Amino acid sequence: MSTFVADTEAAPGTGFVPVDGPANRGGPPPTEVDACAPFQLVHNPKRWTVLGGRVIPAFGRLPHIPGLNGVDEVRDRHTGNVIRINAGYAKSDAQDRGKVPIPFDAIPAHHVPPGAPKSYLWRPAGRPDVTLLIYTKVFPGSKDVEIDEPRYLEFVDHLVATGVIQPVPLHVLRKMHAQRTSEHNVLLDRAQVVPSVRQLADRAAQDIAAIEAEIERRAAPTETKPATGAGFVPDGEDELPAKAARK
Amino acid sequence: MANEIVYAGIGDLSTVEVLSTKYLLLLADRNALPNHPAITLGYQGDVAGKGSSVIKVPHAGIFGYDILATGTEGSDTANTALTDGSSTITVVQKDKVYEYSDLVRMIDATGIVRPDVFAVDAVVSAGATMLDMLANLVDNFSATVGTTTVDATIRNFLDAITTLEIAKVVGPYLSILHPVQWGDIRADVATASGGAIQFNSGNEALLNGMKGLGYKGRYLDVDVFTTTRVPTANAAADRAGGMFGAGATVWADGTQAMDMADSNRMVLADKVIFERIRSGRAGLTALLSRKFVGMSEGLDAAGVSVITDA
Repeated sequence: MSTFVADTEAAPGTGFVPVDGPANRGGPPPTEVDACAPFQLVHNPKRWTVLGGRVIPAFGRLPHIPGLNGVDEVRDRHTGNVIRINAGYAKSDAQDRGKVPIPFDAIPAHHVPPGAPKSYLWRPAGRPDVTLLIYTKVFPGSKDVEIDEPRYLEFVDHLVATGVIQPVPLHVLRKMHAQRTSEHNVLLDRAQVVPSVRQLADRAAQDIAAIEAEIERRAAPTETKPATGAGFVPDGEDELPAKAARK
Repeated sequence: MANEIVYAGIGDLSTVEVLSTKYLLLLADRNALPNHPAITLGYQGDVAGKGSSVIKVPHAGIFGYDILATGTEGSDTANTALTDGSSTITVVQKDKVYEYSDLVRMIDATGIVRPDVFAVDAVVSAGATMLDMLANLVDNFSATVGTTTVDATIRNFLDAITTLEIAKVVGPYLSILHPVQWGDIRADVATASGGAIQFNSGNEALLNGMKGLGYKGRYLDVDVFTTTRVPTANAAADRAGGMFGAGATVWADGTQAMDMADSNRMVLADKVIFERIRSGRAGLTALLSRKFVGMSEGLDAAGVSVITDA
Protein backbone atom coordinates (compact mmCIF):
# COMPACT_ATOMS: atom_id res chain seq x y z
CA MET A 1 0.00 0.00 0.00
CA SER A 2 1.46 3.34 -0.98
CA THR A 3 1.32 6.05 1.59
CA PHE A 4 -0.24 9.40 0.77
CA VAL A 5 2.03 11.59 2.87
CA ALA A 6 5.75 12.05 3.15
CA ASP A 7 5.63 13.68 6.57
CA THR A 8 6.22 10.87 9.07
CA GLU A 9 4.40 12.79 11.80
CA ALA A 10 1.15 12.98 9.84
CA ALA A 11 -1.44 10.20 9.97
CA PRO A 12 -0.99 7.63 7.17
CA GLY A 13 -3.65 7.15 4.50
CA THR A 14 -4.35 6.33 0.86
CA GLY A 15 -5.63 8.25 -2.11
CA PHE A 16 -9.40 8.30 -2.62
CA VAL A 17 -11.50 8.81 -5.71
CA PRO A 18 -15.28 9.01 -5.13
CA VAL A 19 -17.46 7.02 -7.47
CA ASP A 20 -19.18 9.66 -9.60
CA GLY A 21 -21.74 7.42 -11.18
CA PRO A 22 -21.87 5.59 -14.48
CA ALA A 23 -22.27 8.72 -16.61
CA ASN A 24 -20.05 11.71 -16.01
CA ARG A 25 -21.73 14.57 -17.83
CA GLY A 26 -18.78 16.84 -18.44
CA GLY A 27 -18.41 19.95 -20.55
CA PRO A 28 -19.90 23.38 -20.08
CA PRO A 29 -23.69 23.53 -20.11
CA PRO A 30 -25.32 25.79 -22.70
CA THR A 31 -26.34 29.31 -21.80
CA GLU A 32 -29.79 29.71 -20.25
CA VAL A 33 -30.77 33.03 -21.79
CA ASP A 34 -34.25 33.42 -23.28
CA ALA A 35 -34.83 32.22 -26.83
CA CYS A 36 -34.33 34.87 -29.49
CA ALA A 37 -35.21 34.48 -33.17
CA PRO A 38 -32.76 35.62 -35.85
CA PHE A 39 -33.14 39.30 -36.72
CA GLN A 40 -31.74 42.09 -38.81
CA LEU A 41 -30.85 45.36 -37.12
CA VAL A 42 -32.90 48.30 -38.34
CA HIS A 43 -31.92 51.92 -37.83
CA ASN A 44 -34.77 54.34 -37.25
CA PRO A 45 -33.46 57.92 -37.62
CA LYS A 46 -35.89 58.97 -34.87
CA ARG A 47 -34.44 56.58 -32.28
CA TRP A 48 -31.25 57.48 -30.45
CA THR A 49 -29.93 56.81 -26.99
CA VAL A 50 -26.89 57.37 -24.80
CA LEU A 51 -24.61 54.44 -24.03
CA GLY A 52 -21.08 54.52 -22.68
CA GLY A 53 -21.03 58.31 -22.76
CA ARG A 54 -21.89 58.39 -26.47
CA VAL A 55 -25.03 59.18 -28.43
CA ILE A 56 -25.77 56.09 -30.51
CA PRO A 57 -28.72 54.74 -32.50
CA ALA A 58 -31.31 52.76 -30.56
CA PHE A 59 -31.59 50.08 -33.22
CA GLY A 60 -34.81 48.25 -33.79
CA ARG A 61 -34.99 44.70 -35.11
CA LEU A 62 -36.54 43.03 -38.08
CA PRO A 63 -37.20 39.59 -36.63
CA HIS A 64 -36.96 36.71 -39.08
CA ILE A 65 -40.17 35.21 -37.71
CA PRO A 66 -42.48 33.96 -40.47
CA GLY A 67 -45.84 35.72 -40.35
CA LEU A 68 -44.42 38.82 -38.69
CA ASN A 69 -44.35 42.08 -40.69
CA GLY A 70 -44.65 40.18 -43.95
CA VAL A 71 -41.80 37.73 -43.36
CA ASP A 72 -42.57 34.55 -45.26
CA GLU A 73 -41.09 31.07 -45.35
CA VAL A 74 -40.34 28.34 -47.86
CA ARG A 75 -40.92 24.75 -46.78
CA ASP A 76 -39.56 21.48 -48.08
CA ARG A 77 -42.44 19.89 -49.99
CA HIS A 78 -41.66 16.44 -48.69
CA THR A 79 -40.66 16.93 -45.07
CA GLY A 80 -42.55 20.13 -44.37
CA ASN A 81 -39.45 21.60 -42.72
CA VAL A 82 -38.75 25.31 -43.14
CA ILE A 83 -35.79 25.61 -45.50
CA ARG A 84 -35.67 29.35 -46.07
CA ILE A 85 -36.99 32.53 -44.48
CA ASN A 86 -37.98 35.30 -46.89
CA ALA A 87 -37.59 38.70 -45.23
CA GLY A 88 -37.41 40.69 -48.46
CA TYR A 89 -40.85 42.23 -48.19
CA ALA A 90 -40.42 43.10 -44.52
CA LYS A 91 -37.13 44.77 -45.37
CA SER A 92 -38.60 46.90 -48.16
CA ASP A 93 -41.56 47.78 -45.95
CA ALA A 94 -39.15 48.99 -43.26
CA GLN A 95 -37.39 51.12 -45.87
CA ASP A 96 -40.76 52.54 -46.99
CA ARG A 97 -41.26 53.64 -43.40
CA GLY A 98 -37.97 55.52 -43.41
CA LYS A 99 -35.90 52.90 -41.64
CA VAL A 100 -32.48 51.60 -42.67
CA PRO A 101 -31.88 47.84 -42.47
CA ILE A 102 -28.27 47.24 -41.44
CA PRO A 103 -26.50 44.72 -43.71
CA PHE A 104 -25.36 41.68 -41.74
CA ASP A 105 -21.77 42.10 -42.89
CA ALA A 106 -21.49 45.80 -42.03
CA ILE A 107 -19.05 45.21 -39.21
CA PRO A 108 -15.41 46.19 -38.87
CA ALA A 109 -13.15 43.51 -40.35
CA HIS A 110 -11.37 42.94 -37.06
CA HIS A 111 -14.69 42.10 -35.36
CA VAL A 112 -15.11 38.93 -37.40
CA PRO A 113 -14.24 35.91 -35.26
CA PRO A 114 -11.66 33.58 -36.87
CA GLY A 115 -13.32 31.14 -39.19
CA ALA A 116 -16.77 32.67 -38.74
CA PRO A 117 -18.85 34.30 -41.48
CA LYS A 118 -18.85 38.09 -41.55
CA SER A 119 -22.01 38.84 -39.63
CA TYR A 120 -23.06 40.76 -36.55
CA LEU A 121 -25.07 37.74 -35.40
CA TRP A 122 -23.90 34.60 -33.62
CA ARG A 123 -25.43 31.57 -31.94
CA PRO A 124 -24.19 30.18 -28.62
CA ALA A 125 -23.24 26.50 -28.64
CA GLY A 126 -26.08 24.16 -27.73
CA ARG A 127 -28.79 26.80 -28.21
CA PRO A 128 -30.02 26.87 -31.81
CA ASP A 129 -33.01 28.89 -30.58
CA VAL A 130 -30.83 31.80 -29.48
CA THR A 131 -29.44 34.36 -31.93
CA LEU A 132 -27.54 37.33 -30.52
CA LEU A 133 -25.39 40.22 -31.59
CA ILE A 134 -21.69 39.39 -31.51
CA TYR A 135 -21.41 42.22 -28.97
CA THR A 136 -23.61 40.34 -26.52
CA LYS A 137 -21.74 37.97 -24.21
CA VAL A 138 -23.49 35.06 -22.51
CA PHE A 139 -22.18 32.47 -20.11
CA PRO A 140 -22.50 28.67 -19.75
CA GLY A 141 -25.33 27.58 -17.49
CA SER A 142 -26.32 31.15 -16.76
CA LYS A 143 -28.95 33.68 -17.74
CA ASP A 144 -26.43 36.49 -17.30
CA VAL A 145 -25.76 38.75 -20.25
CA GLU A 146 -23.03 41.33 -20.72
CA ILE A 147 -22.51 43.84 -23.49
CA ASP A 148 -19.11 44.35 -25.06
CA GLU A 149 -19.55 48.10 -24.95
CA PRO A 150 -16.27 49.30 -26.51
CA ARG A 151 -16.65 47.03 -29.55
CA TYR A 152 -20.37 47.88 -29.89
CA LEU A 153 -19.46 51.58 -30.02
CA GLU A 154 -16.80 50.75 -32.61
CA PHE A 155 -19.48 48.99 -34.64
CA VAL A 156 -21.72 52.07 -34.52
CA ASP A 157 -18.81 54.32 -35.50
CA HIS A 158 -18.07 51.98 -38.39
CA LEU A 159 -21.67 52.24 -39.63
CA VAL A 160 -21.47 56.04 -39.64
CA ALA A 161 -17.98 56.11 -41.16
CA THR A 162 -19.00 53.80 -44.01
CA GLY A 163 -22.19 55.74 -44.69
CA VAL A 164 -24.57 52.94 -43.80
CA ILE A 165 -26.31 55.33 -41.39
CA GLN A 166 -26.19 59.07 -40.99
CA PRO A 167 -24.88 60.74 -37.81
CA VAL A 168 -27.41 61.87 -35.24
CA PRO A 169 -29.08 65.08 -36.48
CA LEU A 170 -28.55 68.21 -34.40
CA HIS A 171 -32.28 68.78 -33.94
CA VAL A 172 -32.55 65.32 -32.39
CA LEU A 173 -29.64 66.11 -30.08
CA ARG A 174 -31.30 69.34 -28.98
CA LYS A 175 -34.56 67.50 -28.27
CA MET A 176 -32.72 64.80 -26.33
CA HIS A 177 -30.89 67.47 -24.38
CA ALA A 178 -34.11 69.25 -23.42
CA GLN A 179 -35.77 65.98 -22.41
CA ARG A 180 -32.87 64.69 -20.33
CA THR A 181 -32.46 68.09 -18.67
CA SER A 182 -36.12 68.05 -17.68
CA GLU A 183 -35.74 64.53 -16.28
CA HIS A 184 -32.57 65.55 -14.46
CA ASN A 185 -34.36 68.42 -12.74
CA VAL A 186 -37.18 66.15 -11.62
CA LEU A 187 -34.70 63.54 -10.37
CA LEU A 188 -32.84 66.19 -8.38
CA ASP A 189 -36.15 67.14 -6.75
CA ARG A 190 -36.89 63.51 -5.88
CA ALA A 191 -33.37 62.99 -4.57
CA GLN A 192 -34.13 65.56 -1.87
CA VAL A 193 -36.56 63.08 -0.35
CA VAL A 194 -35.20 59.75 -1.55
CA PRO A 195 -31.37 59.87 -1.54
CA SER A 196 -30.97 56.75 -3.69
CA VAL A 197 -32.52 58.66 -6.59
CA ARG A 198 -29.34 60.71 -6.61
CA GLN A 199 -27.56 58.10 -8.73
CA LEU A 200 -30.30 58.36 -11.35
CA ALA A 201 -29.80 62.13 -11.35
CA ASP A 202 -26.06 61.61 -11.74
CA ARG A 203 -26.64 59.29 -14.68
CA ALA A 204 -28.93 61.89 -16.27
CA ALA A 205 -26.19 64.50 -15.77
CA GLN A 206 -23.69 62.19 -17.51
CA ASP A 207 -26.10 61.72 -20.40
CA ILE A 208 -26.58 65.48 -20.70
CA ALA A 209 -22.81 65.94 -20.80
CA ALA A 210 -22.54 63.29 -23.52
CA ILE A 211 -25.26 64.99 -25.57
CA GLU A 212 -23.64 68.41 -25.11
CA ALA A 213 -20.30 66.99 -26.22
CA GLU A 214 -21.94 65.57 -29.34
CA ILE A 215 -23.66 68.90 -30.04
CA GLU A 216 -20.33 70.71 -29.68
CA ARG A 217 -18.62 68.21 -31.92
CA ARG A 218 -21.33 68.48 -34.54
CA ALA A 219 -21.96 72.22 -34.28
CA ALA A 220 -20.56 73.03 -37.72
CA PRO A 221 -23.34 74.90 -39.56
CA THR A 222 -23.08 72.68 -42.62
CA GLU A 223 -24.19 69.71 -40.57
CA THR A 224 -27.53 71.26 -39.71
CA LYS A 225 -29.84 70.33 -42.52
CA PRO A 226 -33.41 71.36 -41.87
CA ALA A 227 -36.05 70.24 -44.30
CA THR A 228 -35.92 72.08 -47.62
CA GLY A 229 -38.85 74.13 -48.90
CA ALA A 230 -39.91 77.39 -50.49
CA GLY A 231 -40.73 80.74 -48.93
CA PHE A 232 -44.39 81.34 -48.24
CA VAL A 233 -46.48 84.45 -47.70
CA PRO A 234 -50.08 83.92 -46.62
CA ASP A 235 -52.71 85.26 -49.00
CA GLY A 236 -53.22 89.02 -48.65
CA GLU A 237 -50.19 89.50 -46.43
CA ASP A 238 -48.11 90.56 -49.45
CA GLU A 239 -50.09 93.82 -49.47
CA LEU A 240 -49.05 94.74 -45.95
CA PRO A 241 -45.84 96.64 -46.84
CA ALA A 242 -47.80 98.90 -49.19
CA LYS A 243 -50.38 99.63 -46.50
CA ALA A 244 -47.60 100.35 -44.02
CA ALA A 245 -46.00 102.77 -46.49
CA ARG A 246 -49.30 104.67 -46.85
CA LYS A 247 -49.33 105.20 -43.11
CA MET B 1 -26.48 -12.26 11.68
CA ALA B 2 -27.07 -13.17 8.04
CA ASN B 3 -29.73 -13.21 5.34
CA GLU B 4 -31.22 -9.90 6.33
CA ILE B 5 -33.57 -8.70 3.58
CA VAL B 6 -32.13 -5.35 2.63
CA TYR B 7 -32.94 -3.10 -0.34
CA ALA B 8 -29.50 -3.60 -1.88
CA GLY B 9 -30.10 -7.32 -1.98
CA ILE B 10 -33.53 -7.57 -3.59
CA GLY B 11 -32.66 -6.58 -7.13
CA ASP B 12 -35.15 -9.10 -8.47
CA LEU B 13 -37.94 -7.79 -6.31
CA SER B 14 -37.57 -4.06 -6.98
CA THR B 15 -36.96 -1.64 -9.79
CA VAL B 16 -34.28 1.01 -10.03
CA GLU B 17 -36.83 3.80 -9.98
CA VAL B 18 -40.56 4.27 -10.34
CA LEU B 19 -42.36 7.18 -11.89
CA SER B 20 -44.23 9.51 -9.61
CA THR B 21 -47.91 9.76 -10.34
CA LYS B 22 -47.43 13.52 -10.65
CA TYR B 23 -45.09 15.49 -12.87
CA LEU B 24 -43.74 19.01 -12.64
CA LEU B 25 -44.44 21.36 -15.51
CA LEU B 26 -41.24 22.93 -16.78
CA LEU B 27 -41.37 26.66 -16.34
CA ALA B 28 -42.55 28.51 -19.45
CA ASP B 29 -44.43 31.62 -20.40
CA ARG B 30 -47.79 29.97 -21.18
CA ASN B 31 -49.93 33.06 -21.20
CA ALA B 32 -52.12 33.96 -24.13
CA LEU B 33 -52.96 37.38 -25.48
CA PRO B 34 -55.60 39.29 -23.61
CA ASN B 35 -58.85 40.01 -25.35
CA HIS B 36 -58.01 43.70 -25.38
CA PRO B 37 -59.41 46.34 -27.76
CA ALA B 38 -55.89 47.47 -28.66
CA ILE B 39 -55.39 44.01 -30.18
CA THR B 40 -58.84 42.83 -31.22
CA LEU B 41 -59.58 46.01 -33.17
CA GLY B 42 -56.53 45.22 -35.29
CA TYR B 43 -58.03 41.96 -36.52
CA GLN B 44 -58.35 42.07 -40.31
CA GLY B 45 -60.23 38.86 -40.87
CA ASP B 46 -59.75 35.37 -42.19
CA VAL B 47 -57.91 34.70 -45.45
CA ALA B 48 -60.09 31.66 -46.20
CA GLY B 49 -61.61 32.11 -49.63
CA LYS B 50 -59.87 35.45 -50.22
CA GLY B 51 -57.61 34.33 -53.04
CA SER B 52 -54.38 35.26 -51.26
CA SER B 53 -52.58 34.67 -48.01
CA VAL B 54 -51.57 38.34 -47.96
CA ILE B 55 -53.90 41.07 -46.72
CA LYS B 56 -53.23 44.72 -47.44
CA VAL B 57 -54.63 46.99 -44.75
CA PRO B 58 -55.23 50.54 -45.98
CA HIS B 59 -54.50 53.52 -43.73
CA ALA B 60 -56.85 56.38 -44.55
CA GLY B 61 -56.77 59.99 -43.38
CA ILE B 62 -60.50 60.53 -43.09
CA PHE B 63 -63.07 61.42 -40.40
CA GLY B 64 -61.44 64.64 -39.28
CA TYR B 65 -57.88 63.96 -40.38
CA ASP B 66 -58.01 67.11 -42.54
CA ILE B 67 -59.97 70.06 -41.19
CA LEU B 68 -61.98 72.29 -43.47
CA ALA B 69 -60.24 75.08 -45.33
CA THR B 70 -61.77 78.52 -45.58
CA GLY B 71 -63.43 78.96 -48.95
CA THR B 72 -63.96 82.11 -50.92
CA GLU B 73 -67.43 83.03 -52.01
CA GLY B 74 -67.76 82.75 -55.77
CA SER B 75 -64.46 80.88 -56.18
CA ASP B 76 -63.72 77.22 -56.76
CA THR B 77 -62.51 75.40 -53.69
CA ALA B 78 -59.26 73.50 -54.24
CA ASN B 79 -59.09 69.77 -53.76
CA THR B 80 -57.68 68.34 -50.56
CA ALA B 81 -55.23 65.48 -50.91
CA LEU B 82 -56.38 62.30 -49.21
CA THR B 83 -53.54 60.99 -47.07
CA ASP B 84 -53.12 57.25 -47.18
CA GLY B 85 -50.75 54.42 -46.46
CA SER B 86 -50.90 50.69 -45.82
CA SER B 87 -49.70 47.70 -43.88
CA THR B 88 -49.41 44.20 -45.25
CA ILE B 89 -50.05 41.01 -43.35
CA THR B 90 -48.69 37.70 -44.59
CA VAL B 91 -50.57 34.78 -43.07
CA VAL B 92 -48.28 31.78 -42.62
CA GLN B 93 -48.57 28.28 -41.30
CA LYS B 94 -47.41 27.79 -37.71
CA ASP B 95 -47.25 24.20 -36.58
CA LYS B 96 -45.54 21.49 -34.61
CA VAL B 97 -45.77 17.73 -34.37
CA TYR B 98 -45.31 15.31 -31.49
CA GLU B 99 -44.95 11.68 -32.53
CA TYR B 100 -44.94 8.68 -30.25
CA SER B 101 -44.72 4.93 -30.70
CA ASP B 102 -47.38 2.41 -29.73
CA LEU B 103 -45.08 1.01 -27.06
CA VAL B 104 -44.61 4.40 -25.41
CA ARG B 105 -48.35 5.04 -25.51
CA MET B 106 -48.89 1.63 -23.92
CA ILE B 107 -46.51 2.00 -21.00
CA ASP B 108 -47.11 5.70 -20.33
CA ALA B 109 -47.73 6.07 -16.62
CA THR B 110 -47.74 9.86 -16.46
CA GLY B 111 -50.81 10.47 -18.56
CA ILE B 112 -48.85 12.81 -20.82
CA VAL B 113 -48.76 10.70 -23.97
CA ARG B 114 -52.44 11.08 -24.75
CA PRO B 115 -54.18 12.91 -27.58
CA ASP B 116 -56.36 14.96 -25.23
CA VAL B 117 -53.30 16.25 -23.36
CA PHE B 118 -51.61 17.26 -26.59
CA ALA B 119 -54.84 18.90 -27.73
CA VAL B 120 -54.67 21.21 -24.71
CA ASP B 121 -51.00 21.79 -25.48
CA ALA B 122 -51.95 22.77 -29.03
CA VAL B 123 -54.27 25.56 -27.90
CA VAL B 124 -51.90 26.88 -25.21
CA SER B 125 -48.94 26.79 -27.60
CA ALA B 126 -50.86 28.65 -30.31
CA GLY B 127 -51.75 31.38 -27.80
CA ALA B 128 -48.12 31.66 -26.70
CA THR B 129 -47.03 31.87 -30.35
CA MET B 130 -49.34 34.82 -30.93
CA LEU B 131 -47.96 36.50 -27.83
CA ASP B 132 -44.41 35.91 -29.06
CA MET B 133 -45.23 37.58 -32.36
CA LEU B 134 -46.81 40.60 -30.69
CA ALA B 135 -43.91 40.97 -28.25
CA ASN B 136 -41.58 41.10 -31.25
CA LEU B 137 -43.53 44.03 -32.68
CA VAL B 138 -43.77 46.39 -29.73
CA ASP B 139 -40.03 47.01 -29.52
CA ASN B 140 -39.88 48.71 -32.91
CA PHE B 141 -42.08 51.80 -32.63
CA SER B 142 -40.41 55.06 -33.65
CA ALA B 143 -41.36 56.75 -30.39
CA THR B 144 -39.44 55.57 -27.35
CA VAL B 145 -39.30 56.29 -23.65
CA GLY B 146 -36.79 55.15 -21.06
CA THR B 147 -33.04 55.36 -20.71
CA THR B 148 -30.54 52.73 -21.81
CA THR B 149 -29.17 50.66 -18.89
CA VAL B 150 -31.34 52.54 -16.40
CA ASP B 151 -34.14 50.72 -14.57
CA ALA B 152 -37.69 51.49 -15.69
CA THR B 153 -39.50 54.03 -13.55
CA ILE B 154 -43.01 55.22 -13.01
CA ARG B 155 -41.92 58.34 -14.88
CA ASN B 156 -41.25 56.19 -17.99
CA PHE B 157 -44.74 54.70 -17.66
CA LEU B 158 -46.27 58.17 -17.43
CA ASP B 159 -44.13 59.40 -20.33
CA ALA B 160 -45.40 56.53 -22.47
CA ILE B 161 -49.00 57.52 -21.75
CA THR B 162 -48.22 61.14 -22.61
CA THR B 163 -46.49 60.12 -25.84
CA LEU B 164 -49.57 58.22 -26.98
CA GLU B 165 -51.87 61.08 -26.04
CA ILE B 166 -49.75 63.54 -28.00
CA ALA B 167 -49.85 61.16 -30.95
CA LYS B 168 -53.70 61.27 -30.75
CA VAL B 169 -53.97 57.56 -29.96
CA VAL B 170 -57.40 56.49 -28.77
CA GLY B 171 -57.57 54.47 -25.55
CA PRO B 172 -57.72 52.10 -23.85
CA TYR B 173 -53.98 51.49 -23.90
CA LEU B 174 -52.25 48.15 -23.43
CA SER B 175 -48.70 47.89 -22.14
CA ILE B 176 -46.64 44.77 -22.82
CA LEU B 177 -43.51 44.73 -20.70
CA HIS B 178 -40.79 42.32 -19.67
CA PRO B 179 -41.20 41.28 -16.01
CA VAL B 180 -37.86 42.99 -15.28
CA GLN B 181 -39.31 46.26 -16.52
CA TRP B 182 -42.54 45.86 -14.58
CA GLY B 183 -40.60 44.84 -11.48
CA ASP B 184 -38.49 47.99 -11.75
CA ILE B 185 -41.58 50.15 -12.07
CA ARG B 186 -43.11 48.39 -9.06
CA ALA B 187 -39.95 48.93 -7.04
CA ASP B 188 -39.88 52.58 -8.05
CA VAL B 189 -43.49 53.05 -6.96
CA ALA B 190 -42.81 51.23 -3.70
CA THR B 191 -39.58 52.89 -2.70
CA ALA B 192 -39.00 56.11 -4.50
CA SER B 193 -42.23 57.61 -5.75
CA GLY B 194 -43.56 60.87 -4.46
CA GLY B 195 -45.98 63.46 -5.73
CA ALA B 196 -49.53 62.50 -6.55
CA ILE B 197 -48.61 58.93 -7.51
CA GLN B 198 -48.00 57.95 -3.89
CA PHE B 199 -51.69 58.52 -3.11
CA ASN B 200 -52.98 56.53 -6.09
CA SER B 201 -55.13 53.61 -4.99
CA GLY B 202 -53.81 51.50 -7.83
CA ASN B 203 -50.45 51.31 -6.08
CA GLU B 204 -51.90 49.01 -3.45
CA ALA B 205 -53.02 46.50 -6.06
CA LEU B 206 -49.69 46.84 -7.83
CA LEU B 207 -47.73 46.04 -4.68
CA ASN B 208 -49.96 43.45 -3.04
CA GLY B 209 -51.23 41.54 -6.02
CA MET B 210 -50.44 41.09 -9.67
CA LYS B 211 -47.93 38.25 -9.13
CA GLY B 212 -46.71 35.98 -11.90
CA LEU B 213 -46.66 36.62 -15.61
CA GLY B 214 -49.52 37.58 -17.88
CA TYR B 215 -52.25 40.11 -17.22
CA LYS B 216 -51.28 42.26 -14.25
CA GLY B 217 -54.37 44.40 -14.08
CA ARG B 218 -55.08 48.01 -14.86
CA TYR B 219 -52.70 50.63 -13.53
CA LEU B 220 -53.10 54.37 -14.19
CA ASP B 221 -55.87 53.36 -16.58
CA VAL B 222 -53.49 51.26 -18.70
CA ASP B 223 -53.86 47.49 -18.95
CA VAL B 224 -50.53 45.86 -18.19
CA PHE B 225 -49.37 42.48 -19.49
CA THR B 226 -45.95 40.99 -18.80
CA THR B 227 -44.13 38.35 -20.78
CA THR B 228 -40.57 37.09 -20.98
CA ARG B 229 -40.98 37.09 -24.74
CA VAL B 230 -40.28 40.83 -24.83
CA PRO B 231 -36.98 41.07 -26.74
CA THR B 232 -33.72 42.73 -25.79
CA ALA B 233 -32.38 45.96 -27.26
CA ASN B 234 -29.05 47.78 -27.50
CA ALA B 235 -26.97 44.61 -27.67
CA ALA B 236 -29.03 43.06 -24.87
CA ALA B 237 -28.23 45.88 -22.44
CA ASP B 238 -31.97 46.64 -22.34
CA ARG B 239 -35.41 45.16 -22.74
CA ALA B 240 -37.81 46.75 -25.19
CA GLY B 241 -41.46 46.48 -24.25
CA GLY B 242 -44.12 48.89 -25.32
CA MET B 243 -47.45 50.59 -24.84
CA PHE B 244 -49.98 51.01 -27.62
CA GLY B 245 -53.57 51.62 -28.59
CA ALA B 246 -55.82 50.30 -31.33
CA GLY B 247 -54.25 50.42 -34.79
CA ALA B 248 -50.66 49.91 -33.68
CA THR B 249 -50.76 46.27 -34.69
CA VAL B 250 -52.83 44.43 -37.27
CA TRP B 251 -53.28 40.72 -37.66
CA ALA B 252 -55.18 38.09 -39.59
CA ASP B 253 -55.66 34.37 -39.49
CA GLY B 254 -57.06 31.53 -41.54
CA THR B 255 -59.50 28.69 -41.14
CA GLN B 256 -58.95 25.49 -43.05
CA ALA B 257 -62.21 23.96 -44.18
CA MET B 258 -62.81 20.32 -43.33
CA ASP B 259 -63.41 18.50 -46.58
CA MET B 260 -65.39 15.70 -44.98
CA ALA B 261 -66.26 14.32 -41.59
CA ASP B 262 -62.97 13.12 -40.14
CA SER B 263 -62.61 12.02 -36.55
CA ASN B 264 -58.83 12.31 -36.85
CA ARG B 265 -58.96 16.02 -37.57
CA MET B 266 -60.66 18.82 -35.74
CA VAL B 267 -60.57 22.56 -35.21
CA LEU B 268 -59.96 23.46 -31.60
CA ALA B 269 -60.34 26.80 -29.87
CA ASP B 270 -58.77 29.81 -31.55
CA LYS B 271 -58.86 28.14 -34.98
CA VAL B 272 -56.13 25.66 -34.04
CA ILE B 273 -56.17 22.58 -36.22
CA PHE B 274 -55.40 19.35 -34.40
CA GLU B 275 -54.81 16.25 -36.43
CA ARG B 276 -53.96 12.65 -35.61
CA ILE B 277 -51.75 11.04 -38.25
CA ARG B 278 -51.38 7.31 -37.88
CA SER B 279 -48.43 5.38 -39.37
CA GLY B 280 -49.63 1.88 -38.65
CA ARG B 281 -46.74 0.09 -40.38
CA ALA B 282 -44.23 1.82 -38.15
CA GLY B 283 -46.45 1.75 -35.09
CA LEU B 284 -46.24 5.53 -34.77
CA THR B 285 -48.87 8.17 -34.09
CA ALA B 286 -48.21 11.83 -34.85
CA LEU B 287 -50.26 14.66 -33.39
CA LEU B 288 -50.13 17.81 -35.45
CA SER B 289 -51.00 21.27 -34.12
CA ARG B 290 -51.41 23.99 -36.73
CA LYS B 291 -52.53 27.57 -36.87
CA PHE B 292 -52.54 30.05 -39.73
CA VAL B 293 -51.70 33.57 -38.58
CA GLY B 294 -49.90 36.76 -39.55
CA MET B 295 -49.22 39.96 -37.67
CA SER B 296 -47.71 43.31 -38.66
CA GLU B 297 -47.12 46.80 -37.42
CA GLY B 298 -50.06 49.04 -38.30
CA LEU B 299 -49.80 52.71 -37.41
CA ASP B 300 -46.29 53.32 -36.11
CA ALA B 301 -47.38 56.38 -34.15
CA ALA B 302 -50.05 54.41 -32.27
CA GLY B 303 -47.38 52.79 -30.11
CA VAL B 304 -44.37 53.70 -28.04
CA SER B 305 -41.48 51.40 -27.17
CA VAL B 306 -40.37 51.32 -23.55
CA ILE B 307 -36.62 50.67 -23.60
CA THR B 308 -35.03 50.27 -20.18
CA ASP B 309 -32.39 48.23 -18.39
CA ALA B 310 -32.62 44.46 -18.84
